[in-house]
Amino acid sequence: METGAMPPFSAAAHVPLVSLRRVSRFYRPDRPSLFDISFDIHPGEFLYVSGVSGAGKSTLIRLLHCAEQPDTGSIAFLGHDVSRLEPKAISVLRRSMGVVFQDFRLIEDLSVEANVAVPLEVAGLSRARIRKRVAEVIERVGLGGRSREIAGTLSGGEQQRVAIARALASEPTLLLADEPTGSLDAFTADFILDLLEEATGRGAAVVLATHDRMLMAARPHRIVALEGGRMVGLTGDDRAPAAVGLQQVV
Amino acid sequence: MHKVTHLLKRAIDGLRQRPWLHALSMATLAAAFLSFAATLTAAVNLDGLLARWIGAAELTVYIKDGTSVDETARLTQALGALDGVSGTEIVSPKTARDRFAADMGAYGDMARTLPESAFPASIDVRLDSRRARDQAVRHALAGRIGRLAVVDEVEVYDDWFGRLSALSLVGRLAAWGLGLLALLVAVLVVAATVRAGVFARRREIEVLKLSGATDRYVRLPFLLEGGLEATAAMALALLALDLIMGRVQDLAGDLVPLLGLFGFAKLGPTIVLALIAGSLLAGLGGAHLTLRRLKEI
Repeated sequence: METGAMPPFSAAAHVPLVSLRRVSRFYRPDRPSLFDISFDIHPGEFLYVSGVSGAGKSTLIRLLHCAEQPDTGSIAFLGHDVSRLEPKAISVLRRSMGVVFQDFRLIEDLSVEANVAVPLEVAGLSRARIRKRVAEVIERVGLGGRSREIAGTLSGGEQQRVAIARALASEPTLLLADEPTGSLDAFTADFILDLLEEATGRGAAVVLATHDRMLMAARPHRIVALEGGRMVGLTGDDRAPAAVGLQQVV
Repeated sequence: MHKVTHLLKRAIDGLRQRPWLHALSMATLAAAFLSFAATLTAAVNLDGLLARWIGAAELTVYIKDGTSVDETARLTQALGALDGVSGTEIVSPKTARDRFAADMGAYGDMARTLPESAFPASIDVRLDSRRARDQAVRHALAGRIGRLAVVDEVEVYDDWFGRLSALSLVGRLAAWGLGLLALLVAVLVVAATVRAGVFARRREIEVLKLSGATDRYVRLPFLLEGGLEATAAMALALLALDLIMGRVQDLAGDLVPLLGLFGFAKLGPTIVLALIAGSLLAGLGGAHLTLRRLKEI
């Protein structure tokens, strides 16, 4: 995949995909949104970020997506500190990420296929490759035959599937999902989670922020538990990185 | 190539998504550009008129009645030999009447019914261009010629030159003033339209940035949109001016020769290209001004 001006990242054995060290983020000086968070994310792993509303889950997702920078501490992608990257390099880095939100964030007056094509157009793929990949991924999320429908006219569950298709389209190495099933019925939520878990099979790391304990119990994975912006628990050990498709990272 | 077409597609999508807003701003821009282009055309025509008048006789020497043809010829020869005189021409009463008739356009036939005796014989004197523009030189020469026995009167056209020159200057100043105003209007209108476009497409911008679009990638279609809008407005204004001039020429065709013109001059290709390039720059400038200040991008 063409990625434009790419930062000098390359795969290295035993280097985590993402590494957070003593990360803090303050919106108000007296009350941190995140405080002293450290953990690693490895390729191919599925990680929950759990906590009640206001625990700092969304802030953590924004930091991982480089939409914000930590006030203290560091976040490194394959050993490269994000705070040292130029804005353009951060944009390029984001092309190796997919992101899904509870409120879908689709361009509602565009068709399903146009929405899904956005990250591929940004990455500068040829029209033929975009068409092929968009068709594949729309089919995969179960919306085949509805690709020309306007996204805003679809149901919530369908819109979330479009959002997942958009996030998966560029075959990201890191998939971030902020309460993606929060407003969906159980059946659709299950389908969405299947899609996210499936992505780990080809080496992508998935970070899913959720407050839903039932969900975490039904599909057990490593959990980073947050409370009042602090990490109060981390289940499972940091694994050695799987040697999978790291050349595609950023 | 794919990137360019994609960029153009996104800019044109932006124009198509809010057709009424763009139609309104384009109409505003076209009106501003039309007033500028019309004033510029008027100034160009005024300059043409001035050049033609200056190119005609700078002095007209009227000959006294009863002067023989030989005496007139000798006088003409003597005038031609004067320092600073570039040419002379005897204008017989018949020639004077024919010229007048031609200048009268549709009313020329009426002029031809006048007797030749109503038009005194004269000699047109052309000066070299440097002296023609120097009022003192013209007056000194006219004084010397006027003292000759066969000369009835010498016309120096000072009033006409003065008025026309002043009018031409006013025309040019007005054109420049309106040009600056039109540019300012273009910058402000495009800035406001692009701002509205950014607001309307904020979700799209957010999604693009989430997907790894650089600031440049997000901004370029808006810049292009501003440039396209201003350029299209200028093209529209020039087309409208052409139509209006054609109509005015049809309506006032009979009066045009009275002004000493063969027809209204249109703006030359260089000026047209400069106007289009100027509008493009104004559009890009207006869009850039807005984009620079918006936090969404």
